[in-house]
Amino acid sequence: MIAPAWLEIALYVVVLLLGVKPLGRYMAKVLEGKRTVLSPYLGWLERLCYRAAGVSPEQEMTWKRYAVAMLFFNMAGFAAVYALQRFQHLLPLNPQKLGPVSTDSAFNTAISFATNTNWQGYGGETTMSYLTQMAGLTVQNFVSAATGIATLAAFVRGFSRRSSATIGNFWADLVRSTLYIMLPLSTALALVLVSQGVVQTLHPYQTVHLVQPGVGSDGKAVTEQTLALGPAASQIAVKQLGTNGGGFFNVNSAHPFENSTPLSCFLELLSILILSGGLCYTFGRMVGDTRQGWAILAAMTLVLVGCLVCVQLAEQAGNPRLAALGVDQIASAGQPGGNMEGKEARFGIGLSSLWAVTTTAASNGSVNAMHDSFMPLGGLVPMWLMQLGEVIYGGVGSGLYGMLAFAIIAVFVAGLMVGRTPEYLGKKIDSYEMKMASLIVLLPPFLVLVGTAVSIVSRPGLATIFNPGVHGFSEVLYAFSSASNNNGSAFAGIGVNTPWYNGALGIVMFLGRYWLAVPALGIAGSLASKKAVPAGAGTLPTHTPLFVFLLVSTVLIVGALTFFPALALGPIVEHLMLIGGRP
Amino acid sequence: MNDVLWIALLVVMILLTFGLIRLCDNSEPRR
Repeated sequence: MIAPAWLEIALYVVVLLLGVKPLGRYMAKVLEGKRTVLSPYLGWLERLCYRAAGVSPEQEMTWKRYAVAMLFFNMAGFAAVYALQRFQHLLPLNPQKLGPVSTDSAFNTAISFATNTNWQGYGGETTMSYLTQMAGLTVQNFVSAATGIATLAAFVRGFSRRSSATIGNFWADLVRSTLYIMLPLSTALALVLVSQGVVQTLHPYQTVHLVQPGVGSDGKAVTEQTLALGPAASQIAVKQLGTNGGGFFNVNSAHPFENSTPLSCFLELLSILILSGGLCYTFGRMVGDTRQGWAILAAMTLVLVGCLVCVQLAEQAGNPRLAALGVDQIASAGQPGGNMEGKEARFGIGLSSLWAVTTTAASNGSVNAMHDSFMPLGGLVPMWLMQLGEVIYGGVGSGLYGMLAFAIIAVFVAGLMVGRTPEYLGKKIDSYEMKMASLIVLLPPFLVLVGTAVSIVSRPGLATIFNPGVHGFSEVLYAFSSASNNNGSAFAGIGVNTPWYNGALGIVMFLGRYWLAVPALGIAGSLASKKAVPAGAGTLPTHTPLFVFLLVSTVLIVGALTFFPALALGPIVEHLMLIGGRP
Repeated sequence: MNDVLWIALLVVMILLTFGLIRLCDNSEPRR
């Protein structure tokens, strides 16, 4: 039925927006170092972390020290995950006796989880031991998300501080984000998911007798099936909240042990965007004007809702080639209608479309349906959301500082139009800020387009494209869009667990994360050192609908102009071929 | 490729990132 799908989408957006203010206010307290409701319970642990690491949380850092600390910490995470994968066959908690992960896959996965991308070239249940999943991947889910929040906190301090040489302490931001934001929310969500049937166990995989035996491809009767298990709930909770996205099982949240009920589906969906949405309000609180946060959130939500409508309509319309053959694709009481290929019957088109848009709007990347099977226009939207730079909600922290880079460009453009020196939140935007913002906006498209171009003309890149023609091109474009923007979702369809794709995607994931975080911290350092400029008659108000329109236009124009030629070669031409009846 | 080559690739990227930090450094006195 169509109506429930629209109701699901409407309910989702309403509940999401209702959660923004309370969560945003709480996170502002955490990032400003104030006492929170959890301080009496977690304060001792916070102090223990500082003591164990030998750091003083009061010691302020310049933006360069902040960047170096972030990089070193994340690279230590890389080393730990890489080593766990390579030596998992020698380590405990490996009941399935899985062997070491190959070097190229270990490289790719270690970068993927350290950078909050969580791109997976492997199948979780057939590759990773329980220890690797828990001590490697889940830990990175926490700290990579906390790294994003910490970087955002430093970025926002650039606006809120006056004539300051420092932007905070990375270690304090990291520890507080992990302990007071990620840990309690993940624990609560994991417990709810377990109550819904998501597995959380260290028992080995179970072999069960089938109620209805089948026939294998070799013609022999199949009477048994092995069910993959593991400590999934704890990883699922944090992977959604932290916009990480790496699934415990290969099919992610289409798997009933990872996403068991409509309630688990809704809560996982909500947790994908809730922190990124809440951080907009946090930003407003920290700069002393919550209207600024609401304006940014409004711009993000406008694009999000537009994309939701597009995907839902595209998928519900179904496949015109099947319609021409007389296949009934009309929704009715007996069938969902539309394009159900690659979608879970439990979730239907509504929740699948909703998930596809939210997971690519945020840099989450987990899936509950196979995006490769979406209609061409339905698949175009998730791809394009990533190509916009993951700024429509985006990754926790990284999405907002990416959007604020667009805001800096928007006020600069507005300043050019009226002949005034551009200002944003009381700080003059000079050439340095513009150079850094341009780097943030232009680097991901460079990585996406160059990576795709090299792959489709090189022998190793072409070797594992199993869908020749425009759809194969879309698959490669999607892969590089996902990796360069630290999303992690896959169109699938191509074989990416090869040295070429593991290496190339690993490189763009690294550059797409740190080569954006560094200029973002540079902007923070530069802005923090400036004095505040009082608002005057020539100051562009940045909390009004006009500014929201200007910001959305800037994001869309940059995204549309940069990627339209590539999209025209992939999903757009595929759509035209489909409606034109071409093979 | 073996472990050393992949780790070397990462080290190169880290060094390039340090280069970027230096390039982005605007700590020279401004007007």
